[in-house]
Amino acid sequence: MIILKYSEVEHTLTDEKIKTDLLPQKFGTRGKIWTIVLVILCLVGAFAYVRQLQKGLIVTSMRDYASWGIYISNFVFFVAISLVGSLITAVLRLSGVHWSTPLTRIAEIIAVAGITFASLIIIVDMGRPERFYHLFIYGRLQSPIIWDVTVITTYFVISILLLYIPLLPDMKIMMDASKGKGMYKLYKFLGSFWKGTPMQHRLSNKAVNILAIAIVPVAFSIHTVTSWLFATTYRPGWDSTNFGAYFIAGAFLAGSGAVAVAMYVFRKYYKLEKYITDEHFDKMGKIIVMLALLYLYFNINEFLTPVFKMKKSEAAFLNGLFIGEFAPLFWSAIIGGMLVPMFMLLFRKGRKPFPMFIAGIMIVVGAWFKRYLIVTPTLLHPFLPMHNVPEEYKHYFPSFDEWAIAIGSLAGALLVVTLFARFFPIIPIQETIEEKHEKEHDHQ
Amino acid sequence: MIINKIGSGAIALLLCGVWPAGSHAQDKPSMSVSLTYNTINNNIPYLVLSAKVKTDGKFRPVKGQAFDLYLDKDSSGKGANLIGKITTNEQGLAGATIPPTLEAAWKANTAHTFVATSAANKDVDASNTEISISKARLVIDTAADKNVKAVVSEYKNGAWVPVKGVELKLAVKRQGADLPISEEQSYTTDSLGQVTAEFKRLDVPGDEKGNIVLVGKIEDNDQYGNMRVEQSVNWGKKFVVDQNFFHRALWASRFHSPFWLVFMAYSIIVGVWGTVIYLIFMLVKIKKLGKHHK
Repeated sequence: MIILKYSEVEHTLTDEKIKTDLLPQKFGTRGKIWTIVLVILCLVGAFAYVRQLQKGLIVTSMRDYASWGIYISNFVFFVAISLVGSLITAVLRLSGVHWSTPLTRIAEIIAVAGITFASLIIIVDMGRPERFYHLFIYGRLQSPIIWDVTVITTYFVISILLLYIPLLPDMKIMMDASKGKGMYKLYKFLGSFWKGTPMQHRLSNKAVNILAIAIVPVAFSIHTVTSWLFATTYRPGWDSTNFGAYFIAGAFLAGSGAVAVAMYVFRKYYKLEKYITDEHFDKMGKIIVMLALLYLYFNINEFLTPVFKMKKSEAAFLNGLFIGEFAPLFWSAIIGGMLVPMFMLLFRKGRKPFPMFIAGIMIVVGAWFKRYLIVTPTLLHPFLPMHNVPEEYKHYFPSFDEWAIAIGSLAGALLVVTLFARFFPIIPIQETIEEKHEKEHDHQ
Repeated sequence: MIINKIGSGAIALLLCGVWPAGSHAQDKPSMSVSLTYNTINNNIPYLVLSAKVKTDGKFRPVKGQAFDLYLDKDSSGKGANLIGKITTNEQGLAGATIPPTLEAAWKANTAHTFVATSAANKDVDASNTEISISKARLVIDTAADKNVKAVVSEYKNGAWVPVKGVELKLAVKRQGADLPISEEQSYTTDSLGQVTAEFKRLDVPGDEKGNIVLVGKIEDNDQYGNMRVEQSVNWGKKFVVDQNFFHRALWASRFHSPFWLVFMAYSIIVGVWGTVIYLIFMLVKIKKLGKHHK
């Protein structure tokens, strides 16, 4: 098999061929099974949530000690994953990097799915969700929770705009391709006003540039504020000034891992080898190595000083993490979710599509457990232990309902990405054509 | 032989009928009932009845037990001088005050007996409890600064007569309990029926004017029951409301955020959401351009 570099490939493709290749395709058997499995997992999660609504949070394993469990771990994970939209779309765009064009929409839909389910899972964690509006009516500006609600809402709106505006030129192509078909009305509703006039292009480019600039501080804010939900409380493991940077570094790594997985899956099952090339994997792999090194640095920074001092009040928490109850999970997340993928991707062979896919999965799974390790062990080791609590309060293992809801929400996010890829081009069509023309023009 | 059969039959009948009945009677726990007489500020007295049973070595309250409460119950037992029919609550307690219909009977004597009776039921036996009291009065005088004088008098032959040797307590009413006004836990009245004590709790916080409530009380006295009088005096420390909570601070209430936070937060919100609105405006412009394009 001859593998072509993306720059070589684009010269061999006609505009029509690009359109045909990149238009959304009907799912095959595997795609349908995958979608059905996700729908079933979502329904099981919805069923568990209905049970939780009826019976209250008693159906969870959260008690006086572990008052935050996998719902909040999941929330932090979703927020982290969503940050990749700003990295790929904004940071690389503003840096003048063009090779990331085929990856922008993948990153943006991951961001939208992530931030949507982050918003939902935080409501799931509420014992009285019907009082959610109280946050807006009675919220105190001094509370980091209000900051978080504000930045999540803002990031959600910006991410939607960043997904939608670059999609407009593709809507016209999709309308042309779907005339007489069921989805035509949706495409017409969303983008029939796009005529591709120079003025529209100019406005659209300007809007995307503004968005690319605006999303960077908002994205940094969203995860920094999420980290402050922990760091502004006085607890072992959370009482840290390093938390904002530590969370952002981890979020970029987790999101990039998710993009690597999505790149592999879409490339393989949508046969996009000509558009998501080995070179994309190679470059993305290098970015992941850099992010893993950055995250490794923040991890060392986060743990070395407390371990060196080993304050008595923090000793139980740190020992639990390093050699105790949580040690297998902790070291698996550090080694399996960060060090091993990093070493794999240091080598060119490791940055090939399949090793990248494996590394991406390891990073994403490790990232989920890392969030669990940030939330739960701290809660189980308070500075002032409670007296006369039942022994089981001092341990936490999620109940069936918690697992069902958490897995359902993860499946929900994957379903959003899956359905988007089914009905919208996962690689920008018009932008790919335009970049090809620009390159041809440069060659001439 | 016949005699033997009759005899064994009789024994069997006894075992089946009498013995189980006897065992059932033994299963009934005996109920412990106590009656207390109480007055507050020398007003109309009230009675509190407490009913308990001892099971498994522990006293447990008897809930829902009905009692008839009488003032000086007459020998006919026809319900004359009935104060009321009372039923115990979850704590095994029930209470009643002397109704206006018994005013004449109450005033007729200086000493009275209160009787509580309950009929037997499937759980407990019948019970009958009495308490006898003499009419008395407890007065506290705070005319002298930071000194409390308490006087106990008994109503005899149409006049209030001081009583010697009554133990009483002087305290300040606080949130959870009464705090003695000095190191002394209790005082005993002299031949004038008086006790005098210095108020030493000068640091006790009162209301905004320094008002605190002084308490004089006689507890579980065999002759006078429980008596309590309360009187407000301004001997406490004036309570100054801590205004810190209403100043602008990170820990303050809503609408009292620090100015720097309000400024920063709203600047960011206005800046970012202004950009978002501008972007939406651009989107609307793109839409209009498309609609007018031929």
